[in-house]
Amino acid sequence: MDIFQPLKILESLDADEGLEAGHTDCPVRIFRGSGTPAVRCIFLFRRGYLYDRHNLEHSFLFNLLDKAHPRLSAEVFQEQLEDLGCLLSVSAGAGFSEVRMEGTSENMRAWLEAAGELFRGYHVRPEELNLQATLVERQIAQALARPATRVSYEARAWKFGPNIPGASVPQPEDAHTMTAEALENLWKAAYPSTLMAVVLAGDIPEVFSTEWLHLPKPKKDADTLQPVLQAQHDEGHEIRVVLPRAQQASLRWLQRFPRIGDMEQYSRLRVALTLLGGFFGSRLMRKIREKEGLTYGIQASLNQHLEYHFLEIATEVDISRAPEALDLVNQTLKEMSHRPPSAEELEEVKNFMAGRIIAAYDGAMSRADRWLHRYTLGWTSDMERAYLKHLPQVTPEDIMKVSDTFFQPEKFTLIRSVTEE
Amino acid sequence: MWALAHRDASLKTAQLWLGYRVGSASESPGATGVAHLLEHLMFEGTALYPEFDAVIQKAGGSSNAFTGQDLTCYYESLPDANLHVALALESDRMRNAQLSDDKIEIQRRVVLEEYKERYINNPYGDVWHHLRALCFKNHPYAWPVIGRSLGEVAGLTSETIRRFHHQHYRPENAALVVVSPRCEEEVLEQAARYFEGLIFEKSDTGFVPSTSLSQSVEPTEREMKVERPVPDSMIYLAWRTPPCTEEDSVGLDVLAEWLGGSESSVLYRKYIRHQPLFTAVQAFQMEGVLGGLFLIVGRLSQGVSFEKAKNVLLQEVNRLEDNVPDPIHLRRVVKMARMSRAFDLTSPAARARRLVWFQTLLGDASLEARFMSLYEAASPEWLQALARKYLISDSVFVLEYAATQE
Repeated sequence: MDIFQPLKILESLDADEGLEAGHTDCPVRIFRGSGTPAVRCIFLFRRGYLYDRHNLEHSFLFNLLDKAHPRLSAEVFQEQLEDLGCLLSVSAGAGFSEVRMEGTSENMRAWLEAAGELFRGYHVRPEELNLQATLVERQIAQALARPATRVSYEARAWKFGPNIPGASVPQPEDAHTMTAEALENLWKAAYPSTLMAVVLAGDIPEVFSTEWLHLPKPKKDADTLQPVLQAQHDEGHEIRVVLPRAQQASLRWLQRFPRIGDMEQYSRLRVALTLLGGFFGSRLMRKIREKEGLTYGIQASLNQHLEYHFLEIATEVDISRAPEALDLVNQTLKEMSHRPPSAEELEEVKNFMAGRIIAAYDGAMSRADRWLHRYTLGWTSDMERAYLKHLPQVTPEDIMKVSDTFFQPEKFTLIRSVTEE
Repeated sequence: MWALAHRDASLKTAQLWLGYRVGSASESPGATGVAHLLEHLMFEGTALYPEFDAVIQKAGGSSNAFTGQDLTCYYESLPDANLHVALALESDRMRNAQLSDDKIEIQRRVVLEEYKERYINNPYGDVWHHLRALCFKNHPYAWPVIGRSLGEVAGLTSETIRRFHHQHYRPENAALVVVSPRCEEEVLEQAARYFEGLIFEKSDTGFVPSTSLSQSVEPTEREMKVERPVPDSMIYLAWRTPPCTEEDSVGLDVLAEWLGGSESSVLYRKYIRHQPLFTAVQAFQMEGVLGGLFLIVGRLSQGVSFEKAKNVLLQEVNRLEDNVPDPIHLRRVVKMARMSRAFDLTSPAARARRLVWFQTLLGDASLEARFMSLYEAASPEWLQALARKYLISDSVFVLEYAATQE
C-alpha cells in the first residue's frame, strides 16, 4: 500500500501568528474560521504555581477569579454570562493560568465586555472565600485518596517545591489558610496585563480586528516575580510514598534541566522522547504493555516552561510486578543511547509527529491553541519554523547522542508508591 | 454497511469513525467484559497488516477506540492524503482480526491492569458496579463495560472472544463516517472499494442485547449501602428512564441540566451555596438504547446523614409535582446547550462522533438535528410532566456509599 509521507507537508507549513489586533499592553491575536457561530476567547497569563510562594496560593487565587468580580456577586455574574450563552472556565497550571470563554458570535461584544470587567479588580467576598475553602479542602482530600494522584502530587512537589517547609504536598487544611487580603495583593502583584495574551478563535466578526477591549494598564513591578524553585534535585534520588492499601505501584521518573532554546537540539530531543514513550508505537509501550502486558499505559513526556523543562515517565503496574517494570524501563532508557532506531522505526515516529503537527494547524481553534502553546514557551515564529525544519532531519545518530545526554537512568529521580517502608 | 461522508474543505486531515452496534449489553452473565477486551484485540493486527498502529502512525495518523454498553467505536485521524490507509486497515480488521491465544493473553493482562487502575486502585471506582447491579437487575446493563469482576475477565475463553467477534463485527452491524476536505462522492466511492466484498452470512440487523436476560423483572431491593475507606460519603438517587430513542429521553436531559447541571442550577445554589449540605451535587441522565437512568449524585458535607441528604433531594424533585421548572433558568440551559453544540461542531472529530453515535445506535444520523430542536423547544410544562411520569418517589433507587475511617 502506498503511503504518503506527512513529513513532506511540514515544508509547506509556516508559523501562524494569527491576525494582530490593536492593543498596546499585551498581544491580542485573532484566528478566524470555524463553520459554526462558535467563538472562543482565552485570556492567558504566564503565571502559575511555578511562581508560587505556597503550594496552593496561585491555583486558589485563580480558581476564585470568576467569583471575585469587582462589582457583581458570583451568582449574578454567572447568570449574566448564561443569559448571554457564554461558558467561562478558569484553570491554573504550573507555568500559565487561563480564563477561557466560549460563546457565539451573535452577542460576542456583550460577553467579552462582561469578561473584561473581571480584570479590572479582584474583590474577595468572605462568603465566597469560605465556600471555596471548603470545596477545595474536599477536592484535595479526594485527590490524595487516589494513589496515582497522590504520587503525582509528590512528583509536582519535587518539580516545583517544597516552597514552604513541610508543605511539599498540599493538605486539605491548607485550603483554610488563604486570606482575602493575601489573595488580593497577589493578584495585583502577579497578574499584570503585560503577562497576559488574548486569543480569539472562531467566527470573529470583522469589527474585532480593529477595535478592542480596554484592558488594565501594565504594572511593571510584577515582572520582578521570579519562579520559585527551591526543591532538592539530587540526581538518581528515590522518593517512596507509603500507601498501604494500594493495589498498584505508581511509578514516576523525573528529570529537570534548563529550557532548551536551540531548536535543532530540541527537535532531536522531541523525536527521541516520542520514540521512547510518546505514542502507541513507542519502545516503552511496545516493551512494557504490548510484549509483557504489565500496564495499561506508560508515557514519557516533556513538561515545558519558560525557564525549565522536565522529563517525566509515568506508569501504574501491579505491586508485585513493580521491580520487573523498573528494570524494563531502566533497560529501555539505556538502550536509547546505544541501539539506534531502524530506518523504519524513525520513519514511523517522525511521520506520526508530522501528522500531529499538521492536525495542530487544522482549523481556527487548533491554530489558536498552537499559538498559545508557543506563547507560553516563549517561542518566536522563527523558533517554530526552525522546529518544523529540523524535525525531518533528525538522524539515528542524533537520537543516540541526545539520549546519551538525557536518558541515562541515573539522571532521573524515581518517585514510587510502596505498601510499606 | 451504512456510510456517510461529510466535507469540510478547510481541513488537511481526515477523520474516520467506524461504529459497531455492540457493547457490554451484548454480553452474557459469566462472560462480561468481552466486548471491551475484544476492542483491545482489534489493534493486534491481521495477517496482511500485522501491526495496526505502526501502519497508521507511518501515515501520520493516530487511532483509538472506546466501548460502551450499546456501541463500540474505532476512530482514526490522519492527513487526508492517507485516508485510504485507514479505510484499508478498518475493512481488513473487520473480518480478519487475529485473535490468537498469545495476543489474547497479553491484552487480557493489559485489561486487568486497566481494571485495577480505574476501578480498584481508585476511590469510588466501583460505584457503577453497585449502581448498575441495583438498578438493572436481570438486565443487560447490570454490569459495567470493563466487566463484572476481575475473575470474570480473567476467565474469558478464546472461544468466547472469537465467537463474539464473528457474531457482531459485520458490515451490516456497522456505520462509517468520514469527515474530510474531499467531496462526499469521491470519499464514498473510495470507502466502497475497501469495504466491497465484505459479505457475511445474513444475520439480524439492529442492536442485539444479551438475549438470556429479561428486561421486565421488578426489582425487590431498591436501596443498597456500601462502606469504603474514601474521604467523603456519597449518595446516588436513580430512576429508570426510557430508551434514548424516545423523545422523553431528550426532555429528561434538559430536566437534569436544569436541576443540577451547573453552578447556577437549583441544586447547587440551594445545597452547596446557601445551605451547604453537599460539597458537590449534580443531576444527569445516563442514556441507553434499552433505557436510561436519571441520576442525582451528592457528596455529603461533614456531619450530614444519608437520611437528611436523601430527603432534601427527593423534596426538590417532588417540588416539581406542583411547580413547573423556573422558565428563566430553563432558557439559560437551552442557550448553553446551543452554544455547546456550536462548539462541538467546530471539531471534525466531534462532528464525526455525533453522526456515528446517532446512526449506529438510533439508525438515523439526521436525528442529531431533530433531537437538538426538541431540546431547544423544551417547555416547563413538558419537563414537569416528565418529572411526574418518571421521577416517582416510590420507584427511586438509592445507593449510599459510606466513607469509613482509614
